[in-house]
Amino acid sequence: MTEKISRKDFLMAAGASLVVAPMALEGLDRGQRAPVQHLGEQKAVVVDVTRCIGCKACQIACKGWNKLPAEKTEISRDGEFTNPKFFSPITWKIVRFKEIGDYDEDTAGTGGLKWRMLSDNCKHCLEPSCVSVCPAAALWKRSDGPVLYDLDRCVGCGYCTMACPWGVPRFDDELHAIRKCTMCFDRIDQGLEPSCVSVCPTDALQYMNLEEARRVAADAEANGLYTYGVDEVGGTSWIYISDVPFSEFGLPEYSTVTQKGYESDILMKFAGAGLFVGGAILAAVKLYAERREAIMKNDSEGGN
Amino acid sequence: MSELVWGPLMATYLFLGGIAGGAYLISALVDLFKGEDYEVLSKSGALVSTVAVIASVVVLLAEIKRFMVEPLSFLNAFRQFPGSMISVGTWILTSLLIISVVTVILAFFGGNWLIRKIVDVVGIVLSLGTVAYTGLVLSYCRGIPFWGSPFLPALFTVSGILTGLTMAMLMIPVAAYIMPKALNSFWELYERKASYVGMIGQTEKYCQILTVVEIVLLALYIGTTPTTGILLAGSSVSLLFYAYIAIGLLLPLGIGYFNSRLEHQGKDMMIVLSAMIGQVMVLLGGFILRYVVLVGGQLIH
Repeated sequence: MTEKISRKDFLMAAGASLVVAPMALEGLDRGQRAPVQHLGEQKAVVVDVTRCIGCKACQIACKGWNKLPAEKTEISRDGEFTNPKFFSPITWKIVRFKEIGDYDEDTAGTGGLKWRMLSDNCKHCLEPSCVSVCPAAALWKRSDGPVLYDLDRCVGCGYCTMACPWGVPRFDDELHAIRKCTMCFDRIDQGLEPSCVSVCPTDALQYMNLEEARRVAADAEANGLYTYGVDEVGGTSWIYISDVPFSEFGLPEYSTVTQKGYESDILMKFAGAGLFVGGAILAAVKLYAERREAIMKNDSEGGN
Repeated sequence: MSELVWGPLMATYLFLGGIAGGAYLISALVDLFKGEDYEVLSKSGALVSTVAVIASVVVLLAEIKRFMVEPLSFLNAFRQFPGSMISVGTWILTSLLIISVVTVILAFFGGNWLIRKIVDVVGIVLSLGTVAYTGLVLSYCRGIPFWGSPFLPALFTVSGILTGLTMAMLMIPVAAYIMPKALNSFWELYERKASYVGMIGQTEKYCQILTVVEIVLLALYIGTTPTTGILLAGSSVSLLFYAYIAIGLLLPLGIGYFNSRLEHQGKDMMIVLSAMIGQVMVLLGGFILRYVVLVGGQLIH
């Protein structure tokens, strides 16, 4: 037997639920890991594309310091020199090769063409998306810059990979956890530069304080160069300078909005759409119910 | 991105989560606002919700690679509530499972009227949270521009409610068989065929309203998300997208219209059968939608 509920009872039940729910949530261990306190200012790396010669020493140094095995690669038939093409649990650093410009008959292909290379890895965002979305608090941003992770806490859901604006964290099937560039925090702790920076023969990668890195980027912009990482997703600890747009390297455009801001924006718009759609559905259901009632009333009157 | 991070299992998880939330929402609303003629639908909804939540969690755990080697590691997913959407979903689904089980137990053994209503109201909040979560969890992924529209969670919410209602309708005979009290009310209802067919007709109308809203939200989603080309130009994903529109939206609308023409003509069995065909199509369409959005988003940037 189902009793119909009155409006008053419904409101009472709703009120009781609203009181009970916050009480149930009280005292939860939210597992929020406080960032490790680290003396010193935020560190950063400036990557100057105009200086890069594509030697891949940084890629090798990354493998060497972090004891990452080699990866089986293929020579691409489409003239693509980026190799490997994607981040993986054992490849944290990629040198992206890009041939820019059009073939010019008059100069036998040399005049209009130029090569540009970009040493790419985790950008170590100032407000990282991966840290924000991780359900297990397995990732965190250290106060001096590196975005780090705890292998034991990772649940392997892949949410950090999907939320990262560049898809950097990658799940390691052997360790059963994600892995990515650590900005060589273990070298930083010893007062050393990240391994990739230390081997760059042309100073295309330079390690410095974040404040200084942003000044270098501002000077580059003033000289008509492009920068990446100063504003994108609220800023990153790796800042790129180039004489060609970063879209050439396949780096997406992002606004200055951080992950939390992005989530809030989606949520607010969804709530607005939800109220509108919910109202429309309720109105349609009410109209239908009234119409049905009227038809039934007509039928019963006709029957009588 | 080099490979699919989330594959068909994740699509199944989102699909089952939507069904779980939608079915419980319908169950609770029917219990609160409808008469005893709909009691069997309410019980079917609670049963569907319970089974769907359990199934969705099983599927999720199968997708999460670490669970196979360290099962307890999954408990870490509860840690970041409410900061992480997956953590929010873990809490919501767990709570919905508890509420669904309690509702089924109350359906078996009866129970205090006020307790049932409180459970209903808490369940409504959780079920709405569940259907919204299945879309929000994707929308928060900034690395996948295809998911970055607020209309995606709205679309998944309405689709979840629709598939939940549909599955609850489809499972009424099963629910009636499993739950003796529901069985009695089902046979009582069935013996009054006019009421049973009337219930099918009325729920079909609600399904039609939800389907029209889903079509509008789909148009808004396509209009507001970048990289829409994946859905419209001839890839395998776009073929599936068109299959979703045909199987999940247009054909069920047509069947509903066809059934409305059959009312009062004494063709009750035909109404019941065609309604079931329409329900299966809605469910198939609901799964295809999630698969297309999930896989399409990862393939194209």
